[in-house]
Amino acid sequence: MGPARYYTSIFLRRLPYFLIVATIVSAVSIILALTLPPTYVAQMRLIVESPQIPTNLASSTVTTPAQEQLQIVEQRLLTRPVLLDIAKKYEVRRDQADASPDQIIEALRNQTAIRISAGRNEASLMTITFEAPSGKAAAGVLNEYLTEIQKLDVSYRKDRATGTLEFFQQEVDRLSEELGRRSGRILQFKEENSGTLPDSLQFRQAQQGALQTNLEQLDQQIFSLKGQREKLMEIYNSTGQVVGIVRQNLTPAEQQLEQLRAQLSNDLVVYSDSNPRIIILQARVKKLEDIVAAEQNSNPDQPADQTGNSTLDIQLSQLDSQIEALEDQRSVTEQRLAKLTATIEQTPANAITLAELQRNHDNIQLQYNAAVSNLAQASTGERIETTAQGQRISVIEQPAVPSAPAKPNRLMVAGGGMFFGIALGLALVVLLELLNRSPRRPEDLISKLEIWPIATIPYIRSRGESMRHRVAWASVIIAIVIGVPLGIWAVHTYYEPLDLIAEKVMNKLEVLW
Amino acid sequence: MDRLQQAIQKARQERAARNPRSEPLQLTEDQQLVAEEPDDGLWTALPEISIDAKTVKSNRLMSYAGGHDAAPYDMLRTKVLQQTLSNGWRRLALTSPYSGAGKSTSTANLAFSLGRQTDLRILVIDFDMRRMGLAGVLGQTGKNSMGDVIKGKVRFEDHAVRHGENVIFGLNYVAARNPSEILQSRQMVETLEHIEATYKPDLIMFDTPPLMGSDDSHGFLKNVDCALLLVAAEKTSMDHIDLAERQLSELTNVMGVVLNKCRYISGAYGNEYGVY
Repeated sequence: MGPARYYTSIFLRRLPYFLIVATIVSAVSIILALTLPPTYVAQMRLIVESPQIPTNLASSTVTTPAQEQLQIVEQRLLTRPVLLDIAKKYEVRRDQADASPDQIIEALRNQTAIRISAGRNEASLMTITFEAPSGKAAAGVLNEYLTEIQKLDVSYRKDRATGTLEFFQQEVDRLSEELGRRSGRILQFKEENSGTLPDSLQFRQAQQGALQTNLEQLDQQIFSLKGQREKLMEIYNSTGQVVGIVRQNLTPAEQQLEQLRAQLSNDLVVYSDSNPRIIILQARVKKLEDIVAAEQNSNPDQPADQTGNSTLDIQLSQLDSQIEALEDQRSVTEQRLAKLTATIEQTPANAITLAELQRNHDNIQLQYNAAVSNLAQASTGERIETTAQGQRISVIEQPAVPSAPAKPNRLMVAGGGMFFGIALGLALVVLLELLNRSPRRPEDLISKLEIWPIATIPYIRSRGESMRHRVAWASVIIAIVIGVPLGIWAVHTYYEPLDLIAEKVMNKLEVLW
Repeated sequence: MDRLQQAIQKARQERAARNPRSEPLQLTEDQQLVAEEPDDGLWTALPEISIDAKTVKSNRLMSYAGGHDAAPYDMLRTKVLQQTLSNGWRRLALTSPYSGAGKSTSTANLAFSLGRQTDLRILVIDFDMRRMGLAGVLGQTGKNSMGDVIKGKVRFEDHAVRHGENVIFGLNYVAARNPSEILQSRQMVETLEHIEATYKPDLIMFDTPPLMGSDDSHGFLKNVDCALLLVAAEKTSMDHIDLAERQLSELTNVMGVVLNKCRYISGAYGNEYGVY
């Protein structure tokens, strides 16, 4: 018995297992192939066109990459409200009447296949296929998709362009307002500190110098005038035979005081201090001094320095009035100088404050300039988008109504199912054989345990048994070959169609996943 | 396997050293096993069993009638006889790793095969006392078991049955209560010696319990000279065969492994049982 015959005989012994598996799978696949409802597939292709105006001349403000744009559109397309809207117009499921919205949406999503092919230096394409129970529905749903996509695309781009424009408009407004505020502050500051601004500093410093020389001159003049007056007095005293300037018209009290003082000085030569005479004199002098002081206090308007010589008096009074005028002038000059010095000292602080204000102003100015140029660009971009000359999605291939169902490929389903069933059955047999680790023939013992069996007794059936066995074998095979497909057919027709069962199983599996 | 074979070899050498009776095979006239003729009266006194054709068919007693169907058992018989003669073995046990390997059927068939060689005297004793395997195969009914014989309740002469002129069966018609103890008792050894002395068989075959199922046969197998390990093709796994053979080789001489119920007899290793 050669290996081929040996394996064949093993296979024949395991035939029932093989047959069960193979017939179940084959029967299911054949029934499915025969009964699966036809599905029509429509297709359309979209492309992202690059902007019509070269971007280096004028660019749109919507710079979404083509692939991203397609993905955004895809995601927005497959949203609940859009899909439900479409499902109202077309029959996308066989049992749409009694399907829940969720099921309808799920069906739409499952039957829609969107393929985006994009890359660097490649045109970005989008292929959308849709499966439906009828060709009309397939094409119709795709048409709906198309209008929705174009709507989405246009609204998306326009919204973005106008949004950009609005943003920059607001920015320019805001910045100009700010600029005005800053300028106002600078102006206000300059008005408030007009005397102490850095630009008049030089002038004020010159003024300060002039005032200082002025002051020195005044001091010299006053000094010389005072000298003249003293000279005049000296000359008068030496030439006018008047010892000192004796005061005329003394009051009686004053005269008496003079006399007493003379007497006291005379007596002091003769008498000691403790002499009662002296003490009395001193007391009288004291009393008179008090009286004189009181008198002088009571009439102070009396000119103190009158020489009594009228010409001299006139000269002196002239000199005095000149000195007084100069003194006045000097004090005024000193005040002005003090003021000037104060402003000069305040100037640096003001200069710093002013510079800061100016800097802020300049910064805002820069921002404003940038915003204005951006605004110009944004408005260009917005124009491009509103005239639909930017990057946009357009149709290459319109969806057409398919003439013949694309699915299922009945031959493939049936053939593939049968092939799969046979393969599965064979796999089961092989698995069973691999799991059964027992010797089948003497060679196995020799190869695995290196034991030569002393004898090999063949399996022998009695005649009746072999007949029975054959009948049983044949009936089992017939039962499998006929019964299994019949059973599956019965399930399909009386219990529930197989495709529904398959769908249920798939749903269960999906839930579990 | 190499280690196992070495162990077997070693055991054989030890045994050979113990009893230097191992004579070479000489098939001369005066060197026959049937030198000591027992009293024929003893053999013919036993009741003869008759097996009806239906039992032969249904219980697969292929070698009952001889001829083409008996060829595999005849082949086994020849090999067994060669081994026993060359080694001077007298007691042969048939065992298997698990039950259901076809021990009782094979024992019966081998007994019929040996029985057709009329110059041999064969004793077949069923020591698988939990079942009535051999009795069932032969379709015999009775009251006692070999357990009763060993315990001395029944004499072997009253219990045994005969097939033809030269085969005696010791069967179990009922199940014994504690076979393990019976098989390992001294009475068993004495009973066996008594039976041997009485009937002077050339070969005693024992149908023994399976090795892995219980410890029944472990004690007993020390009392036999050699054993055949029966394995069922597609049923007994390789590991069990390996294990059983190791156990068996520790207890006694393993004459060989018999692959039973083989469905694929190939030309290279099997035998062409043709009619020639």
